[in-house]
Parts: sequence; structure tokens; C-alpha cells
Amino acid sequence: MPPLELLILKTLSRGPNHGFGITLHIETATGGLLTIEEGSLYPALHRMERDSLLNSEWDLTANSRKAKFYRLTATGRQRLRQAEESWQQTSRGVARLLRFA
Amino acid sequence: MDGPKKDWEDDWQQELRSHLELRADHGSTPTEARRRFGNQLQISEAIRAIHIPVFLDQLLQDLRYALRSFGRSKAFTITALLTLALGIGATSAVFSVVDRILFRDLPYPYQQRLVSIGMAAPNAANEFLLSSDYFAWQKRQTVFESLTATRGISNCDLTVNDPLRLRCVPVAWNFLATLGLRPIVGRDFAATDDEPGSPAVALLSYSLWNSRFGKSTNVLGQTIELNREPLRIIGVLPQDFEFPNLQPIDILQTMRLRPPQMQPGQRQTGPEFYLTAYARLHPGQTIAQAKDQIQPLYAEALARVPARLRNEISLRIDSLQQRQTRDSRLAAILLLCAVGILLMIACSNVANLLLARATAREREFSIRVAIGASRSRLLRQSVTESLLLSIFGTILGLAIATLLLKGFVLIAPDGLPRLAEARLDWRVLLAAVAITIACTLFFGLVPLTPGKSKWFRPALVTAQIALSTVLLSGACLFVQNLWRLTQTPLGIHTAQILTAEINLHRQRYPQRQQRQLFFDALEERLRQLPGIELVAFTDSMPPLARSMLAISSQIQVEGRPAQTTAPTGGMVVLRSVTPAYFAMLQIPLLEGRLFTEEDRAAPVGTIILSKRMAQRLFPGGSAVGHQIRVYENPYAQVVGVVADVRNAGLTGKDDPEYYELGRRHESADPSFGHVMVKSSANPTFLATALRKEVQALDPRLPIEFKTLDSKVSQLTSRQKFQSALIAGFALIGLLLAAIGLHGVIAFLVARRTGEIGLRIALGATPGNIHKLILGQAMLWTGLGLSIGLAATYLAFRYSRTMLVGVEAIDPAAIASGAAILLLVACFAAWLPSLRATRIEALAALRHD
Repeated sequence: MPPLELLILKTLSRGPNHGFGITLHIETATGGLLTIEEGSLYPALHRMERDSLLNSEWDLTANSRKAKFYRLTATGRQRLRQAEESWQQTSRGVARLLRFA
Repeated sequence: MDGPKKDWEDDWQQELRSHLELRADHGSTPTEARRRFGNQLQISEAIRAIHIPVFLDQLLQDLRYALRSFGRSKAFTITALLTLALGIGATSAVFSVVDRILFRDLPYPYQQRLVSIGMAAPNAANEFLLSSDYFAWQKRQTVFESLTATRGISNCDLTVNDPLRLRCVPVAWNFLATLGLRPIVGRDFAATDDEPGSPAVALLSYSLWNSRFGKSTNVLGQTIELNREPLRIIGVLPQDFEFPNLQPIDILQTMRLRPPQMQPGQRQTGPEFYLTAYARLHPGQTIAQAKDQIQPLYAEALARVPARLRNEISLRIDSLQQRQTRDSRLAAILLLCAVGILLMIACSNVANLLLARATAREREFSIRVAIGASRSRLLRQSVTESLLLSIFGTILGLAIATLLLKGFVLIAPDGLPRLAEARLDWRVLLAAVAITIACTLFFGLVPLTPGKSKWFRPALVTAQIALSTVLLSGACLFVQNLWRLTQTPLGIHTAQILTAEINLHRQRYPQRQQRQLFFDALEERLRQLPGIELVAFTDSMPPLARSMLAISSQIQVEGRPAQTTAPTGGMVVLRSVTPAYFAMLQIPLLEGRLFTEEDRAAPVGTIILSKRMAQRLFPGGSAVGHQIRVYENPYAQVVGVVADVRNAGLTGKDDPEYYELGRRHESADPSFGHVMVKSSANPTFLATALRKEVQALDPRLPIEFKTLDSKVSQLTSRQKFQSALIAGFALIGLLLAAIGLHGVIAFLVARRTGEIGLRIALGATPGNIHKLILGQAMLWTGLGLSIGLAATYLAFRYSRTMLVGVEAIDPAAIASGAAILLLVACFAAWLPSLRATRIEALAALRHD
């Protein structure tokens, strides 16, 4: 299971999105292989905002609903690069290990 | 806390709602949406944890913990708090006062450019300008933008029913304008008001206007009677008006002096007056420039001074600010030093206490580290405790500062300018608080830093002792000086004597005869009063005033050539007294006889000389029988010689005296005098009775009887003030140093309990143990004492010339200061040492 933070950062790298939009994107993009629980999504979003990886803004959705949109900050973008790299390394390592066995 | 909390909570609730709506839009039923969301309460809690800053939570925890631990070690907390509070309080109060004295703004719009100007002479207390010079300068000078002058402040009486003694001062008409002030009601003086012979006009002080005239504007143009002469009120001075020499005044009048008609360089004829001159510099002009530019006029003025006095006179121009603080500057600086030392002692004491406490808590801290507290967490705990101490210390310190300030105002002598208006200075308070916070923080953290050294606390104690030594020896010097001042024989007995000043007004008593009659009648009435032993009159009171002074060379002995070219020979006090004077003050007769009642009616004048005077005029011979005169007065016969009395205040150098029998000479003016009454009756009741007698003769004559004792003790009020303050600070400093020493020794004993127990088990006697503990204490004390003594010596040597009244560094005084300190230090160290001898060997061995 990749860290939640990586999934969120990657999703937002496509552009600002709200919490529901993030869950939706992760589900569709992974073809339903990965689902996110709202119960862990929101605390993660708030923590990342506190740590200045994200910032947020209230805006209207395509259906003219009010929603809180999260957006990557420069720090967030940097963190995304590190997280991607480290995850790829981890997954390559895990894959090799599995092959070896 | 409430504001931000609401913000994020609302925000979160809204975000939650929006999420559910979006999911519903996407086809989920509301219940399904909510189910998918999981436990809302739990999420909200998780979000909350993110938003409430952790450190606040921990701060509250730290505060609770700190308060609890202060509660557990009450002795530490109380000592540390009191120490901090004393340090902060004393420093703030003293700085506030000193700031007020030395650095305040003067209440004159032109204060930056105002100067005092005049000739300084060794026998004049303050610089002066002779009236002829003043008028010459006024007419011809272009150095100053404005030049003005005042005469001396004198007592004057509002002679109406319910008479009132006031303080009046004649000034030049441009006096207020030079300072840059205007009356708040009415008009300023005009040049015509200052012309000789013009009708008398006056400006009232605000307080007189308020107390006597109820702030009514009807006073303008009203005529009052002052010293029985009419005076028209033309205006009222501003409420915050202060006379440049800071003396209280009630009425400003014009001088109305006649400018002398004379040619430059020529001696003028007619009366000269001593004036005090003030001037306003041109913008941008410096005092040095003004001094240069006034030289030609000054040279002319100097040329008119008798040749033999010329060398002793110099021109003095000072800024008004300097002029005002000249006398109090030293006292102020001294106080600053004393209180600065006190603050240092207080800080090192708190440091010591914190260190001792930290050592005692080593075990507690290591337990906390063991159960998972991080180093930074412990650091924060220490900071919290230090800050908490500082905050409480500051609050207490504020209270102490306020009290001290009130105390200062109560016991301060006259002449400390506007002390009553001193307020707690916030900048100073902040500075003191910053210092203590820095100090508590630093020493609160030292225990947590690795490699704390063993010598640190002993060094602190040594420093404290050194500082205390300086304070204590300084205080001893001052107290000793005060003691000497008050214990030096006055040459007179002041007990059971009441005295009052009487000033007869020329208007009511125009004839010399009338004034004479008044005094005779008063003497008679007072003698009749029951319980009165003696009644005497004199024109001046020892040891206070020297109203009549003559230059020594003006005294002529019959049969000797007049001295004209000899040096001035110093001053001589002339006193006109009645026969009872000597008996009243118990001045011993050394030769010849005293004045008698018969002398008062005799046609030939009689004179009594003081011993010093007799020796000066007749060295080696007897003075009795010689004929002497002063100036051009008729010769009078010396009938006796009496012992010397102090007659120059208590700090000045005494002069020889020359007594003449009261009211013998036609030239002597009996309009002014001191009446003295000796009685064993209660002085308060007696004063009322005496007042009634005076009022029976003249109901419009204001009079107030005071004991001679109280007048004499007032003379040393300034020295008493200084000594009391410095002694107070020294005692506090000593107490703090003793606490510090005690703390360190007690800590050492606790540390070495095991070792001491072992020594006792191996047969060490209490004497051995005392030697071990006290030896160490005395090592630090001795070191501190030596440093302190050296510092004291250097400090006083350096400042000796500036110290009023402290003439010499008396080794005895410094030694007594050191002795007191040594004694207290021994006691402070002995207590824990005694505890050490009582350590039980077995218990001690189990200690660690």
C-alpha cells in the first residue's frame, strides 16, 4: 500500500481538487484497485495543509456546489518528487524480493 | 484560543457537509454517504488534534507542573520571589527618581537654550550678578537673545485678617518671557511695571490663587496688602510653574530697581543688589560661544571689583538643567550605584537558588528522561518555571517599587527637585524585568547544559560577597559621617527651646521706636507667661543662619591702623543678641563677663567676642577692655569672650563671631528677629500659647514657633536621607548574600553527606567537621571580602572629591563594614555546618 500522502500529492499534481474529487480520482485512476477512506483522507489533508504541503480555497465545483479545493504548494511539489522516487525504489525492492523467493 | 478554534471548526463542518453533498450528487443516498464516511466523531477528533497546537497543550501542562513543584518547595519559591521582587522593585523605584532628577524636561518652552549666568565667588553659595553689572549688560549685550534677573526669595506676609506667611520674589519684567512662559490669567509684567517708583504689581502662583482666591478671575486688578503695602494683582502663573532654583514661591513681583548712572569702568555709587541672572541663548549658540562673547562685558564688570577679590571671582555659565541638578547629581549617581549593586546581588542570588534547586532535582529529571521525556521537553519545563518566577517576581516587585517610591517622597529632604511627582518609570521597570528574566532563564538552563563546572556556584557566592562588601563599607562610611555630623558639639544646648521668626513691617511700624516698643512689649508678655524660664532675642540663630556677615578686615581695633591692603581674612558672623541669649543656649563664658540688663540702657556699646575671634584679633593677649568697631559704627568695648559655636550649618566651615548687644546701635534694624523661649512645658501647647501672645500684640503678624531641636535636625536631613537609603540597600544586599552563602554551604553538606558520615564513623569530631565545612565557606568569603575591599577603596578614592560630607576614607568605617559581613557570613555558613556535625554515620552511609 503506497503512503496516502503520495496518492494525494500525485492526484493534486494534476490540478486543484476537493476531498471528494481526490477519492474519486484515486478510485477511477487505479481502476478501483485502491480506495481511500474519508476517515483517513481528511485528517491527512489537514495535516498536509498545516505542514505547508498544500493550501486550500473555497470555490465552486462544475455543478456549482461550494467545495474546499486543495492545491499543491512548492514544498508539496518537492515532497511529491521525493515520495515518488522513494516509493518506486521501495516497490522495485519489494518486486525483486518477491521474485527472488 | 476561541477565535481560531471557531474558524477551523466551522470550516471543517462546512467541508464535511460539502463532501456529503458531492457524494450524493454522485448517486449515493445520504445514509450511504454517511456510512462510507465512517465515525464522524473520531475524524473530527483527529482533525482537532491537528489544529490545536501541541505546544499550547504542553505549556498548560508545564505551567501546572511548575506551580505544583513551586508549591512543593515553598522555601525556595518564597526566597527566590522575594529576591527578585526586591531587586526589581528597588531598581525601578530608584531609577524612576533619578531619572526625574537628572534627565527630566524643564517646564519651560525654551528649556534647551536657558542658562544661568553669574560670577562665582568662594564665599557666595551661588553665582550672582551685581545689579549695576546686570543693568550694564542688559543695555549693551547682544550675546543672548534675552537676559533676565531675579532677586532672592524672601518671606513676605499677606497682612490681612487671617494673616499668611508667603514666599515672594522680585524679578525683572522680562523674566517670564525669557523662560517662554505666559500667565494663564491676566497679563505678564510690562517694562513700565519694572520702573522705579511705579505702582507695585504681582503675579500669583496657581496654588495661592486656588487656596486664597478660589480661582476667581475677579482677583485681576484687585489690591492686596503684602507686608502692609498695597499690591495690585495682574495675573496668575501656570499651574506647573516652577521657579528656576526650584524653591516654592507664591508671588512674583517686579524688582523696580533704579539703573545706576555711571560711566564704564567707574565705580557706581548707591546701593548694589545681588541678583541671580538667567539668559536665553540664540538658536544654535553654544555656552562656550556665549562665554567667549560676553568676555568684554565681564572684564569691565571685573574691573569694578576691588583688586584683592578679583582673583577669587570667575564667570560661570551653566545650562539651567545643570544648574538645577548641581546639588543632587551626586546623590543621584550614588543611589544608582547602590541599587545597581543590589540588582546584581539579587540576580546572582536567584541564579544560585536556581542552581541549587536544579541539582536537587537531578534525580527527578533523570526519572523523567527515563520514562520518555525528551531533552527539549525538559528544557521547556525549565524555561516555563523561570518565566513563571520572573512574572510573579515582577508583580511583587511592582508593589515594592510603588511602596519605595512613596517612602522616598516621604523621607526625602527639600531640594530634590520635584520628587513628589516621580512616577514609576515603565521603561525602567521593563529593563529591570528583562534583566531578571535573562538571569533566571540563563541560570534556569545552566543545569541542563552538559559540563556544568564545580566552581560556578562558589564563584557566584564570592561575587555576591564582594558586592555586599562594597555596599556595606559604603554604607558604614555614610552612617559614620552622619554620626559625626550630628555628634559634633554645636557649642549650644538646644533642648527645651522654642523659637520663631518675627518680621515687623515697615508700613505698620514705620518708626524705629515703634519696632523697639513691639519687641519690648513682646519680651515683657512672654516673661509673664507661667513656666517660661528665659526669653531672648537674636537676629540670627546658630547653627543655621548667618544673616550678617562682615569681611574680617572691616573690623577695626582702636589704636591700630585700618587694614586696607591686607587680604580679606575670611568672614565674620555678626550677631545682635539680648543678655539672656548666652544663658539660654548655655554658651560658656571664657573671660570677662556677659551682657547685663544694665548694658542695654548704657550709653556705650558693649561687645562679646567668640574665642576664635578674640584669638584672631588679639593673638596671645586678652581681648577684654579693647575698643572695636565694624565699618563706620561707633567703637564699643569688648566685655567678654565666649566659647565658639557652630555657625555655618553643620557641614560648612565655622567662622569667628562678634556679638553686639541687641538694639544698641542706631544702624541696627530691630524689624527682624528670632524670639527664643526656654521652658520645660509641652512644646505643642506652649507654641499655641506663645502664638496667642504675639497675636494679642498684632493680630496680623503671622508667626510659627518651632523647637530648636527640630530646626537643627533638619540641617542633616539630606545626609540622613542618603545614609538611610544606602544603609537600607546594604542591609538587603547583606541578607541576600547571606542567603546565597547559606544555600551553597547547605547544598555542599547535602552533597557530601556520605563522605561526612564516613568521616564521623572513622572518628572525626564535630570540630573537625566544622573546620572542613567552614574552612571552605571562609575561603570564598575571604576571597570575596578582599575583592570587595579593594573595589571599595578604589571606588572611594576615585570619587572622594565628589562625595559631599565624606571627607576621608576612614579605615575604621570600612573595617566595621567588613566585620559585619564576616559575622553574618560565619553565621550563614555555621548553620549548615552544624547540621553536618549531626549527621548520623549509619544513616549517611545508606544515603546514596
